[in-house]
Amino acid sequence: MNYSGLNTGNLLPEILLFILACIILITDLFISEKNKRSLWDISFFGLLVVLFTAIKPFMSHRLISIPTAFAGQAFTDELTIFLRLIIISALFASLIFSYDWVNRTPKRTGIFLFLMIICALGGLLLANAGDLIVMVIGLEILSLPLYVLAGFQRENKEGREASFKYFILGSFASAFLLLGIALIFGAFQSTSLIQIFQSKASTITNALPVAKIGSVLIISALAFKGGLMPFYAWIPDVYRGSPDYIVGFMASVAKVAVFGTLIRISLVFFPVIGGSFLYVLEFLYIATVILGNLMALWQNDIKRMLAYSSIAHAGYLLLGIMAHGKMGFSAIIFYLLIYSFTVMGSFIITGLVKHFRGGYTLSHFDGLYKDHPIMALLMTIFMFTLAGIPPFAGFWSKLFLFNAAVSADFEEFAVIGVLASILGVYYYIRVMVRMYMNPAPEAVSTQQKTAFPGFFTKIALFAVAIIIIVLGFFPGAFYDSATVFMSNFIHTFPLG
Amino acid sequence: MLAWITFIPLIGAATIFLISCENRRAIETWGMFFSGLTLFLSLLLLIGFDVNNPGMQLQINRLWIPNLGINFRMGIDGISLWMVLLTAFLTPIAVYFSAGSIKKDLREFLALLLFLETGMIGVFVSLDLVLFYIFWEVMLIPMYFLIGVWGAERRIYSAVKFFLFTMFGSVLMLIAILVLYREAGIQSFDIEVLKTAAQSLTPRMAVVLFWFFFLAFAIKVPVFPFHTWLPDAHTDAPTAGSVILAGVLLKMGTYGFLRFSLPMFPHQCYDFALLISSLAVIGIIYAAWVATMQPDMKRLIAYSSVSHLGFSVLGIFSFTLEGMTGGLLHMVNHGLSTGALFLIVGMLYDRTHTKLIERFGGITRIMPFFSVCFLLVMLSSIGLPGLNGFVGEFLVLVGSAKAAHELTFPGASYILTVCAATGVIWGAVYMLWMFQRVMLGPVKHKENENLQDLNKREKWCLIPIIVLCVVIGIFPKLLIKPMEAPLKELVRIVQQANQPVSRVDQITGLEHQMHEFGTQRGDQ
Repeated sequence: MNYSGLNTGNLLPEILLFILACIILITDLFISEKNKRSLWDISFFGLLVVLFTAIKPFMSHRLISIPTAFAGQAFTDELTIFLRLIIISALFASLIFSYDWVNRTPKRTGIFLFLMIICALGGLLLANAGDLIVMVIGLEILSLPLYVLAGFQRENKEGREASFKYFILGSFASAFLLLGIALIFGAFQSTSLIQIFQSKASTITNALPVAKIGSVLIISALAFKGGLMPFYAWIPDVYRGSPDYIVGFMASVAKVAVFGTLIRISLVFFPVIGGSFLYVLEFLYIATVILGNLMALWQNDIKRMLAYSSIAHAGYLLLGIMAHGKMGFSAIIFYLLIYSFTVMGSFIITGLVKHFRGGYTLSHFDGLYKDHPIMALLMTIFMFTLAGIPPFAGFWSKLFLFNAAVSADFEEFAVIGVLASILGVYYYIRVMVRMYMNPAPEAVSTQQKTAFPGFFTKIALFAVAIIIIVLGFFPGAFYDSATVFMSNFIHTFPLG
Repeated sequence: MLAWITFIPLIGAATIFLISCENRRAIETWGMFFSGLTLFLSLLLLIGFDVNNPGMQLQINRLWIPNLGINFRMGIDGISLWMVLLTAFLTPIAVYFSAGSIKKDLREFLALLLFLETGMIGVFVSLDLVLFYIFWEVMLIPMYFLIGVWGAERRIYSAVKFFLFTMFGSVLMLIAILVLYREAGIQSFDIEVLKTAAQSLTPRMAVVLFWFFFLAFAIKVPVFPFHTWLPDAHTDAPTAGSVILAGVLLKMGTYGFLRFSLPMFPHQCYDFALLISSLAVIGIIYAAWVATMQPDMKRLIAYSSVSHLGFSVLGIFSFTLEGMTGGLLHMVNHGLSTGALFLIVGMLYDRTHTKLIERFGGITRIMPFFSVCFLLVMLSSIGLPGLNGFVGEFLVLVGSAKAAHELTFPGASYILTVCAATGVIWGAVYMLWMFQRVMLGPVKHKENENLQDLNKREKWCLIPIIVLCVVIGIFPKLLIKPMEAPLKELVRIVQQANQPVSRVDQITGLEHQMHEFGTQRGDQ
């Protein structure tokens, strides 16, 4: 295969994203506060173009002939197509979600759009990195906008705290990643994933312990970003403090990027390091699904509950990495798609409840169905999806994942997973109990009805719910093509 | 056809949800229309049904997720036929009754009830295990809301308990299904494929998977140590919810034994039959005793359900044609008579807002028509000859007396049968005693004196059930005929898997040894 070529065309969506971000940043300087809305027009139009270029290879069903760009610095293979699809559509959805919210302070529109787009770009770069150094760059481009976005509401004390905490702890993670890369470089004399893959285990016998430690450090850094168990501590605080309209995006883009990277890393390192890599994953998996679900049980605050549950979901996703095959990876992709949409939707509803009733705790959901039936129904769909109960799409994502795990002889781990998911069911249906079965508090029902914040938010919520329901009835539409692409991906990665 | 029967209620649920919630009349009409249509279509099933065919009929098979081999496959045989009919029969009654008795949010209630019907019928007709599992889980959602929103005092506790208990059992079943899928090797979740796959498992794995399946079904039935969710769920559920819960939901467990456990794990079923039958008998007697002492009528009937379903399980795990036929028939009978009992308690509750036995007494004088219905239903539940309950229980006891595990443990089946037969007596004890305290004697409480007798709606809820009880009691053959072919097939499968091959082997082995012995002596 031709690795040396630039193949710039393969990276077209990323390049377009970058150009779009720059255009927004520059135009923002030259237009008055009244005309800030035109920035939205630019970014929606731009994103549609990007989405089109990202979907094109997916629609054409053509296998990719040259799966790299910039001489192997970035992969542009079948996995990339799906990651682009998920991240860019998540970005698109969350921009629609936050349209009305950002427009309340139009001065910040430009910087907001810039940060969101750059953040998505960083996620794509991280997940498609062909070289460990590019991975570092991707991680930084992903993280720095996230730190800022976490504290985007400057007047909110919790937001500032979240931002600062995220920044400090995130820097540690980056340091881990760099140290890991240094060790890997020491062992393999290369940072290129292709070259690491090509080097035989026998050639590095002496350096094998170093390579193992290095890979564990890299996984730790990724585990931090993905919010896996021993590195989870920032998640609840940061999610709690971040603005409701984008915290879903923050959760999903980081997860998609991290699990995309883990898929690549595992394919490269499994053959060389093998067993010990698996042990680390197994440990992370068990700790994450059990503790994540257990800790979510005690939360009284919905945002914290969703934060802990996002930890648990990251845990289930590890099962797909462990299963390590086309079934596992396509299950991860399906899961990520569904999860991204659902988590955005549920955080938005939580934010709306705060808007109408003034708080995030469970008791603020009391009798929601009476006041806001549509919101309650949407929240029900999201909660059942997260809990993995049919007929919603969340069931399929769990089924595909557990099926992959069982097929790869990990049935003990699947049993642990399903038992942990029972805990999950408990805290998700607690929300339902509040919404449908508890009476609405007196104060709320007499309160003046506040206006619904925005038409666009509503549209996006419905769209997300419809996607979840449709994929719940016809999961094959997406899953089947994911399996086809993934089986090709596994056979060719990383050598093409 | 089957797909229509399954999904028409769902369409109905969606339609009802679009009606404005003030328009109770329209909500009721549409609810009755859709549930009636389902009943009509499922009665049409009887016409084309071939009684002598032990296999699946009226099959549908469509690709759904080709890459994993998940198909949309449905079909019915003599076992599921009656379950579908029972569901389709009880739902309109539940809809009709609740249109009168549910005051709050009728629209949501009926929509959930129809949604529930889709789930229940789907469970009985699906032949692909993923499809089955989906319906099995889907049905939890509406039931959870029915209990949690329209229930009595401790509704939230009961609803959550119901949800978590059943969920716990079913997720393990999911893992078992996935393991079978892996072992099958060819990509298919079809029941026939997984059946074959189950035969090639290692013995240890087979035992584990058997228990995973068993747990899911046993919690649903519920078999004795797993029954604790049931009294709570029943006590707090609204009347229509109780009717469906007792009438259909519990049968899913016993249906699961017949459809999945037995054909997939005939060997393991056989090995553990004694244990399971003992649990069933313990359940029969224990639940009957507990029921006797209940102060609350609904709780009493709930415990009686545990006791009654013990008979079904006992019959199924006797592996005799009589026992299984009795078990299946008893499932239908229990659905009818316990459903009617819950309706009756619901009618009393609507009038007096209490279910406590001590708050009643001498109701016969005040509500004569009601008491005739109550008497008939109660007698059918006790198992009076001539009414439906008797046939099922009798067949179960006959079957269990000559149960297959007699071979492994001589005498065990007689002891079990005798104990189970005492359960019939205990059943009479708690039912008659309750009837006596509620209906007979002088009117104890003044406020009960001006209770109204049944109105037209309530009468029309009870009459069809009572007619069926009598018809089945007199002509049980009508129901038994279609059951026979598939049940014979099941008995054959179990017996074939557990042929007293061992004995034949022993004999031939012995002959062989003697022969060798002879030749050796000859050599000398």
